[in-house]
Amino acid sequence: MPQRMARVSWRLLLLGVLFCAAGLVLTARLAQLQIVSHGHYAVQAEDEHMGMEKVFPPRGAILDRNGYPLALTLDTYDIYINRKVWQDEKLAADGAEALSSVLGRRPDEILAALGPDTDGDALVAGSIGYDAGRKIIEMGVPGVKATATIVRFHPEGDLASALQGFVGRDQTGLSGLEADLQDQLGGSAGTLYFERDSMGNPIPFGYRQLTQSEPASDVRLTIDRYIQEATEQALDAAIEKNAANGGSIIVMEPKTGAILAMASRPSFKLSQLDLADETKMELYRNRAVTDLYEPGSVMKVVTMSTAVDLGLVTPNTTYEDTGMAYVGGYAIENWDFSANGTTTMTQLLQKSLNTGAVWVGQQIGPERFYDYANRFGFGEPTGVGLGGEAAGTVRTSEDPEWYPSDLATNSFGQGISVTPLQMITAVAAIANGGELMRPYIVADVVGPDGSDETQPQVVRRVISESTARTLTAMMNDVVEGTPSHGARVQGYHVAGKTGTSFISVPGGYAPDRVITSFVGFAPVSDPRMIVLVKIDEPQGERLGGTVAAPVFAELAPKILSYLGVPPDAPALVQQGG
Amino acid sequence: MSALDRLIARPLPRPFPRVTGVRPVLVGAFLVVACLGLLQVAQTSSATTTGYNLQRLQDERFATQAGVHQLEAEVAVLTSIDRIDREARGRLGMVPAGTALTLEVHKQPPEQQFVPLRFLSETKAPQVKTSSWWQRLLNLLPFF
Repeated sequence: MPQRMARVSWRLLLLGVLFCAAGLVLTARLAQLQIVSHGHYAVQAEDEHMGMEKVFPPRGAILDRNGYPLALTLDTYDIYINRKVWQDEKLAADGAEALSSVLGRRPDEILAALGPDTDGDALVAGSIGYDAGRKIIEMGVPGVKATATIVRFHPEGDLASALQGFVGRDQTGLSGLEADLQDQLGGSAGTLYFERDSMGNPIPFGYRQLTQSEPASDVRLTIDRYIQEATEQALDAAIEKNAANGGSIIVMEPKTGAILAMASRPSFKLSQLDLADETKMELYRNRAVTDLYEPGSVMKVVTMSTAVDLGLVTPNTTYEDTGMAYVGGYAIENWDFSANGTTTMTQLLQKSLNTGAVWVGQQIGPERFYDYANRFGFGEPTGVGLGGEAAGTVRTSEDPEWYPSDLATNSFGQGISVTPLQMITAVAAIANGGELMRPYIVADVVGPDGSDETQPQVVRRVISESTARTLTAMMNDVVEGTPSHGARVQGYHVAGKTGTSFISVPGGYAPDRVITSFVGFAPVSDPRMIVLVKIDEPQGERLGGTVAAPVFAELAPKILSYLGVPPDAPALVQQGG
Repeated sequence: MSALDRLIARPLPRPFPRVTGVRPVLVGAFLVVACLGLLQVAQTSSATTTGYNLQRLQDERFATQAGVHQLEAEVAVLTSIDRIDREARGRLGMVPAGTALTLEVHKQPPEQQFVPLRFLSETKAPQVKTSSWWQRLLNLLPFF
């Protein structure tokens, strides 16, 4: 009997030990879950129970210089369907039927939008009207989720598409000013934390915590919608007339650097935006600030300004034009292969003689020439504040790849690359009495805390006031001293210079591909606007004077009249009696 | 007799229980708990109602805001160049301007514009301060 008792005790003891061990293991596991890994599981549980949404403030408007809106924000809804819930065919059919009346689509189209996947949310309708979205929410169709969003609306249609740019579905600017001014236009998104049910939908009256968003600002541009439209129409007409590949036109106030219009082609249309089409990526950039070109003879005004400012020449200084200039083993000819004999500096500009520009360049010398090129702003971005602005390419005499022939070709605008904005800004310095202004496109940013106005900024004095006056007179002689010059404007004295440059290709220049341009300002006595016209690869007529200058002549009177600039020779009317 | 004995032997009915000091405390405690419960229910109900009202007001605010944005867009469309051009050509029969004639008047304008008194109102209309650009645009429309 004692032996039996001993056996039982041993078994009981073993059982007890086993239970204790199991209990210890369970306790240890419990401690590991509840204490050691508490943070990890707490986060998992919170993720499961709590949802988070970004709450965007209404995106700011983009306005033109007079306050007319170019881009606005409308409140809309995106409608998503939970595919898992709609696996139930009866429920899906009823849901599609209910949604069809609000979305204006057939039930089978709605079901087709779910795609082949069986999990996740499917976007079945994007950016539907606010009222329609609210109606869908109130219908409470199972598995249907309406997410508040916004859509950009452009009351002026496709005006300044490349300049304005566009936003993505996450309300972030993707191109143009929408991207460049994202901080101002977008504000700062708030965050909404909320308790959610098993479907991920917010639990009514559950926990909600909203971090307030910072309101966005409206941005008023220096762009004038009327001038912008006239500019785009003129550019489109010129491209069509000359069967050109593209082009750019910029209109600027020379005294302030404010850009009144900026158009470039080829471009995209905001109304036909298709981000899924990768072939259209090429169209999204603003070519007036991103693309480089060789300015051709327009550069001669920069060369001449330098020489006049250094006191090397005057408008009446002469040189002997033999029709050929030899530099570094290369022979440089005039564009029309002419030889003009004794020629003044004014005639040089009027006839746009390459040999004369080479002669002037040699008088200046490379160091001083590139120093002035730099002072005119070539080789560095203008700082206009637009994304992707190119700096241009200026090879100076200090570069190992520079040759003496570069000075010769640079003096008449070949072998040097600039953006259209750089070129107009440089010539605007002449119209502005010799001071280079920083171009700008944002007039002010109007936020909840007030307005932040952009002040015109002088970058530097490039040439003296007297040189600027001399060059203005010489450029005026170019337009008004040349018979039948294409840039003449009735009633206004205009100063300007044409340019025609060959397009650089690997190994040299394409002889049959040119870029034509014209830069001009008016009125000469008190310049109120300066216009750069650049037409790429025109077919047929291929000179700046016949392709680009007439565009200026058509556009300038509209702008001057619109700006209220009285003609230089107004009609005098006396009241009789 | 035995029945009488049984009757006599029957214990006297108990007197009405006396209220001791413990029971009122229990009753009071019960009442307090009940009141606290009711208060809790009332508070929860009130919070829920307030939450509901808050949600409704927030929805109304969003709806109003959306309506304002929609109206802004409509005003912007009405003042767009394209629409003005259409109206000018179609409804008013206007044509693009030809050659502009500028007249130079060699006489300074008067410093003060003299207007007959009958055209002046006695009291100035109160200035409506508007800061919104779309309200200013609205004022530009001829039919508003």
